[in-house]
Amino acid sequence: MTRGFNFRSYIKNDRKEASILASFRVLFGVLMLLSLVRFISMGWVEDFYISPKFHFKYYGFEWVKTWGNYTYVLFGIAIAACIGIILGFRYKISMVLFFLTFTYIELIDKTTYLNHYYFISILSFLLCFLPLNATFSVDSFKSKINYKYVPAYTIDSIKLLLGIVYFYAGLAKLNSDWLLKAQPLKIWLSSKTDLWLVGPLMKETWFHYTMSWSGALYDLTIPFLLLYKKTRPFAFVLVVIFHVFTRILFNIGMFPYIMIVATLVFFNASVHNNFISFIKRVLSLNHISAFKIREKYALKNQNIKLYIISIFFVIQLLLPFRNLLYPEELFWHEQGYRFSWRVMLMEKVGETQLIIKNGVTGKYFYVDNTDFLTSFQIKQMSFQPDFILEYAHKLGDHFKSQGHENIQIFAESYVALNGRLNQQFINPTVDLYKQKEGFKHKTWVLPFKDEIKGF
Amino acid sequence: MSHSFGFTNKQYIRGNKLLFNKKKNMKKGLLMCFAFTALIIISCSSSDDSTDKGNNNTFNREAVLTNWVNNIITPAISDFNTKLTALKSSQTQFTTTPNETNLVALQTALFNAQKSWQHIAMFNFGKAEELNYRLFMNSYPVDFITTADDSQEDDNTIVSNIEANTLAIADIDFTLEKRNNEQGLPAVDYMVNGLAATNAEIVTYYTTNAIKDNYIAYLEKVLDRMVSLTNEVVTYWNSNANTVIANNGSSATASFDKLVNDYVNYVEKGFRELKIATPSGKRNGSPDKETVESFYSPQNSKELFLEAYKAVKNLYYGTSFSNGTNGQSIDDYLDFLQATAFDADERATKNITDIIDERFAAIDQVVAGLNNDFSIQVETNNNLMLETFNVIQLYVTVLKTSALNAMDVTVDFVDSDGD
Repeated sequence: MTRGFNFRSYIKNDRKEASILASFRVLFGVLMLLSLVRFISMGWVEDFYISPKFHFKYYGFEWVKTWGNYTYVLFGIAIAACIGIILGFRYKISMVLFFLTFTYIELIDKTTYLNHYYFISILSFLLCFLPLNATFSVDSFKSKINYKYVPAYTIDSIKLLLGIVYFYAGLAKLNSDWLLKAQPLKIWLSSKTDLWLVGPLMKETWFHYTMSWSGALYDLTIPFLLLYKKTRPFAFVLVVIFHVFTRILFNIGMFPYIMIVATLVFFNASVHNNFISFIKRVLSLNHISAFKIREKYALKNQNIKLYIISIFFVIQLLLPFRNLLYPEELFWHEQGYRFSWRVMLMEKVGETQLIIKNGVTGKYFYVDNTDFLTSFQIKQMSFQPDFILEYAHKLGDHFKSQGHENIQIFAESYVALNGRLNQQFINPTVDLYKQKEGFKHKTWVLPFKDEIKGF
Repeated sequence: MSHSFGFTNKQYIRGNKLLFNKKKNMKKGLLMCFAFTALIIISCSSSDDSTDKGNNNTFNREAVLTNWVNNIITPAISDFNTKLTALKSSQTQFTTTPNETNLVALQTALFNAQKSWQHIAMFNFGKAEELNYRLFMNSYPVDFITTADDSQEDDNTIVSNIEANTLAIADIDFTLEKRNNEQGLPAVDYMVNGLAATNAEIVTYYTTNAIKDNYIAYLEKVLDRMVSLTNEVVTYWNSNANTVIANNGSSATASFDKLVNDYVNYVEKGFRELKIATPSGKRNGSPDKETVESFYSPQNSKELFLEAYKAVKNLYYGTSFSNGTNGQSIDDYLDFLQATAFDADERATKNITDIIDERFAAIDQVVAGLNNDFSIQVETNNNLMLETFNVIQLYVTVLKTSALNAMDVTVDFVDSDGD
């Protein structure tokens, strides 16, 4: 009876209804479309990608340049791709286009890095390989073929990705600041006493701890609660409550809605069939039914796709642990902090100024950050070592081109982390212009004077 | 019993189960409906611009705003307006009858206005922000530079302005930003204190000088410009005080957040940089006494600085401008929030307000040793000037890295999503 899980047979034979993927496709496309339109309407394309004088680059992606005013074209392509995704029109091209444009936009400037943008990027990468257009799509309408089923792994891989996001976010919360000091929630919640109904709770210490612990517990357990049929409705209610709450408390844009909608993929086909027939009714598409119904969608080049998906997941499983390769405090030097689902773990604020010095004459001057950076960039630069280093190099190159000689660059930097008093951040005697960016440990970040235990 | 109703136990159970399942589904559906409705309602109305008054668990920002507006901002502005009016009439008196007595009266009136100015410089808010009030009223040093690589600079200087002719003086457009340091209090300081070494000699510029009409016309123009700018700011506060107080929320556009931002901006740029960092050469290693505030009456520079320092403390503690009584302000908010910071050096958790008290005490101590004349201080013992910078900087960093985030005030309204 207790026959082990047979991977080969699971890949080959297990199947689930294609409607799950179809409704996921529509919802994903709509949310992405809304996100992009919202981003443009907030004026952020201008603020983040056009007006800054220079952009902070991801290591290895320095070649990704802003398109200036044509950045709107990038957004236009992404929006067109979203429409293609919603309709299931040339799905594969639409999805690939969306992945490429969205990711390109994200790579222009790491100042805007958010875990959820990264999530969208990698999710859309994964979706490029999955048959989200197998049914209820313009593609299937044109080929006159509707598939009833898709291989189970196509749906399960989306679930796995969501599971990783939650579970790793939960693991990251298992640290002494989060659990034993209720930081940074204590700082963030305390000032929210104006909120309707829940306001009076926000100052209570017990409430900070309750939120911290339940947040960690939620992240660690929710993928499993969603997996099992019995706990699924309860889990979904939790998902809604959790994300609505974070939406009220924090300024996190579309992310809560994206996460709520994404979890629907855990539900079985009846929910999705209802959703699709609802759309059909509203748009009166019911009469279009001259389809050949085929049983199961067969992926082209399935083996190659499976290899890619497997490698993708191996990377996703390992990458968040890369911080273990570095000594000293992760929250302080942030080596391995990004791309690892460390969400809302830090209230970190810095005050950083750079000094340009002539190494021979000893003459120096301080740089006025507002001459070079937007206020958003100043904020992000002030507490992240890789930003400070990149800024130093950009300033160095700038002043070199202006004819300055023997340039040395020093930082005067103070940073406060999770309710600690600020302390000096960058070794003020190190010439940052001589330091190179890379995967090596940044020894010019001064040691953190306290200790945070845990992941 | 059931037999008498005509159906079997089995049927009854099945029926019940069906009913139960239906109920369960309904419940589930209802729950989801409720959750989604809540989601939509709450997220649409999530702007937190309401203040629940009279609750011990919520902090009343409106009380702070009322205190700031009624006890600090409006009395200070009205005081400055009075001092400026006095300055204007001293100028008229002097330009009609230029003599040493009237010059001394004018110099005194200027000093009074400069002192009063220190209490309103930080409120770059509303009309003042729109007019760039601070920039036009008190940009120093006065412009003597003809060319510079700075794009803000032009070929005009205060000297070339005066030496033109009276018609050309009338035509000067003081509303241009690049003309900021050819006008305002520093320009008056130059014209009543800086033209020559003695008062007797200064008076000659307005009596026997070949272009005395130019001097008179320029001085009048500078004064009139200050009066008209100030009138606009006074009018703004007369008609908007209540609106400003009523904007009592906690968003980036709320009065509290904006005024705190103005405060931090002033402490950094107006107070720390202009008064101390620049003359001490902190930013480029070369001290420059000419950049001291009121350089042509440098014996007043420390007193002006101390007045500004008093204003910096007053806003933080909520001390009334007119009678010195303490009211609601930043310190009360931080105490309400029980905002603390862990001091890793002392291995102790402290109240942020206690830390700030200590930082003010440190500033008090260093400042006590400063010469009344900063231009002398810079040349004789600049280290004390740099030390003054350091202790002010300690206040700025704790303000920016601990106090602001505790109060959830974003610096410069960085408007973007978070994680």
